[in-house]
Amino acid sequence: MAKIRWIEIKGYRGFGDEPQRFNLDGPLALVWAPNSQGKTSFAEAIEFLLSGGTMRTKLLGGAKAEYANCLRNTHLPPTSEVYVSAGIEDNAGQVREVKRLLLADYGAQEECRSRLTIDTVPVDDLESLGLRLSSTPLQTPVLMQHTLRYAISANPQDRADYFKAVIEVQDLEVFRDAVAELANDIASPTPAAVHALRACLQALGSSASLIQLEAIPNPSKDNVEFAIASLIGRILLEASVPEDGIPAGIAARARLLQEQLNTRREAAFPVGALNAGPVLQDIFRVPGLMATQSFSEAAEGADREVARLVQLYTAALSIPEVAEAQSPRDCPLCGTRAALTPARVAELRRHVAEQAGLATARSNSTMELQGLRRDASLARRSALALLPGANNWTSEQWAQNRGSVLERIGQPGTELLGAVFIALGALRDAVSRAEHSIEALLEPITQAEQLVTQTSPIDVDALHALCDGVARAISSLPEARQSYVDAATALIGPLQREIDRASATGGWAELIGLTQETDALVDGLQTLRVEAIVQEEIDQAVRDIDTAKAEVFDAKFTSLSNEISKWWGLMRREQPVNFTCVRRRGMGRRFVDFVATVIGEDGTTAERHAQAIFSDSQLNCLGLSAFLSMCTREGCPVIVLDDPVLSSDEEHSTTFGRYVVEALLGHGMQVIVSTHDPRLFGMLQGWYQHLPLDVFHITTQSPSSGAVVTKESDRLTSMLDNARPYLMNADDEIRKIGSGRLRDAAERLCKEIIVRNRRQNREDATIEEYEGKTLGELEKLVHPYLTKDKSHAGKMRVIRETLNPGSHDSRPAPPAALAAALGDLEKFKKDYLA
Amino acid sequence: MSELLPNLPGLVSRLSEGCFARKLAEACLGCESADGLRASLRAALTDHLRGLVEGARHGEDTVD
Repeated sequence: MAKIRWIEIKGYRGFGDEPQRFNLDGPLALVWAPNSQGKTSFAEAIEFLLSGGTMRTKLLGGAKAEYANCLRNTHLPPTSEVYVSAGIEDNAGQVREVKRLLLADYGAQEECRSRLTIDTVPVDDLESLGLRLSSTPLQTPVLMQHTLRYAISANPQDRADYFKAVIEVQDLEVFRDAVAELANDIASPTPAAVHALRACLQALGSSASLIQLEAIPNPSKDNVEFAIASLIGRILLEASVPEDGIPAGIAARARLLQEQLNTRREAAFPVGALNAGPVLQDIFRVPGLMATQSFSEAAEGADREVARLVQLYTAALSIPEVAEAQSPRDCPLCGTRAALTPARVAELRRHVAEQAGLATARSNSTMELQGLRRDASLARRSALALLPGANNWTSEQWAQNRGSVLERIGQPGTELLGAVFIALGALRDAVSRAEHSIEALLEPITQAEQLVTQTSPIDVDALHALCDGVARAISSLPEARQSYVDAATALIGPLQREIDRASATGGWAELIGLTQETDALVDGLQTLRVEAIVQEEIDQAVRDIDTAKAEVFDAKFTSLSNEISKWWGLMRREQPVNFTCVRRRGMGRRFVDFVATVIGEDGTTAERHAQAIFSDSQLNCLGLSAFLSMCTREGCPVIVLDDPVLSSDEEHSTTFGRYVVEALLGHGMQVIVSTHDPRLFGMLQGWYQHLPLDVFHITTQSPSSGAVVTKESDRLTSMLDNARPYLMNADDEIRKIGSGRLRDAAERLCKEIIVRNRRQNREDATIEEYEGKTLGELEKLVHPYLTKDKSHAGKMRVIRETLNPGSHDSRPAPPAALAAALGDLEKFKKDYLA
Repeated sequence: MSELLPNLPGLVSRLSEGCFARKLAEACLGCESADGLRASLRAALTDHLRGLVEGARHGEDTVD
């Protein structure tokens, strides 16, 4: 275990600019100081060294600003360092120098800042030396008045947190909360199909109330489709469709529902007449007219007479005698003699061959022109098909429908209908331009076809130009259609909803849409179902963890209760009210109770909350027991106890000093006790004088010089110091305290001089032999030994008279007389005991 | 023993064999950081969810 071998304090709270050092050689150190002399500053300095702050700010309440500049001694020069350092012997026996330098004091809102080093190397904490901080706010093994009762008086939640930290089960809280937070991880966005289902069911209203799709235990595709088909069947029945007219199967029922919906909508308003035709895509492409171009070029150079007679030439050449003639032959068609010479027959063959090529070109051109006519006619039909039925509404119908829209969705609806009318006009104009351009093309196509039959050239460029015109007109149609569709959609949406509502068909369209998405719906419903199950599993898991955690708590609380009971029992034995245990209330998340048992004279017992029935002394004792339990459980190598027991509580300061300190030392802990109680201080010195005991006095001569530490194993010195602050006070009552303490010191002086002289004479003498003797008796006994100056015996008598005023005079001696007595006693101490 | 969750083994021993809480706790026995704890829990949850969803898609009676 680590040991603190020395502590040095400079400029911290009540300590001044001159570093004050405490050399700690043994396992127990006692620090005595009257009130307001720097004793608590000493304890807080150790707290600062270990934690880097003071728990005053958290435990004493008040605004943060009230603690501004509370660490640095107010009287310290501005440039002076403030630090607490210590020599800490580690487990290897090496003394390491630990130092915490104050960099910035607490501000109005700011925390203090400091730098911690081990052997000048900056560190974050002292865990490497076995000094581990505990849970806030009692982080350090330093008990002070403002921390003594924290464990009992903290608010319920803070107390529960504190004890859970002490028994080290907060990890289970962390685990439990992390499991509870898993619920956030499974809450995925609602699947789109389920969102659509909910909207549909809401729109359907009472029709859907009997079909709880989301509650289907196993939302398989069959089950979901069956449920939707059942819902459609119910709707169709409510819509007066005969039961035997309702088909089986979800698809057939959806089609029938769509028909019913269309019928009802059209009866209410001709919404269908607002729908434009389908989108145009590549309905007309400008042709290359290559075949017609080739034919036209061929026709340009063709001999029309040859073309007229080519059939006769072909007939003549079909006659073998002509075709194979080696000498002139008579013409078999006109009878001209020897007209068909071999050269002439060759000429005929050339003409026939040329005409055959022209015929092919004619045929290709004819097919090309027929195709162009077909494309143009199709484009015209498609363009006309874009126009909605509303294009054929008469003025009266427009007026009638406008009134219907006004009635259903008000003035905004009529404005939307006006926009539809305008967009329809634009679309109609575009369609008209396309139609005219197509008609302008059709007549030239007819003329070209005639020219083909006449083997006449064709003006192909003119045809190309007309085709370009058609293509341009057609290309403007999609934009005009889209503008119309946008305007119509803006009207159809709200209008259709209102129509569906008025015609009791709300939700039908959405339901029909769902029949097309059953796979997505099944997937979404299964996801939701699984998430709901896992949500419940997480909730159950949290409940199971709470139950198991409570069992872990109980086991640990039992152990802690035994520990606290042990310390409690050392201080308070066999009392009618006793500490029983510390235990959780409920699951222990927010409440941890201290339980006391009241024992009646007849042996009956009753449990109560300790806070409710314990006396001030008992509460202090319980707080001290809880603190000691924390320190021993956490294996603290050192513990600092600043006035741990009320000085007025003589019985329990005795049991504390006698048994608790002994038990702490038995744990191997280094114990530092500071107190202003001279009685406790004296008892501790007596009980533990067999130890290497370190005894210190802290006095403050002036606030500017700060607290001064002297190490004294001499009890007499401490008694004189104990009296000194009271002697010069003008208040009789305060001076009387000082006079009493100075009398105690004078008695001690006499005893020590007597015992020392008797021992020098080889007598077996002890201080205890003279316990109970008065100063008057002791003055007589010491008289033979006051031999170093003739005046000493008289001075001792005056001291007795000064400190033992007659019973008729309850006033203490005046300050000057007491100061003279103090001076003489110090002189005697130097002359006879040094 | 985990520095982060020293009492988790004690908790596990008090949870019923096979219950969801125990599965989650067992998945975290080796966790040494808060981030590791959350990651382990999420991984265990994801596995559990995946198993249930796949079971449901294959027509198992897991969601009855």
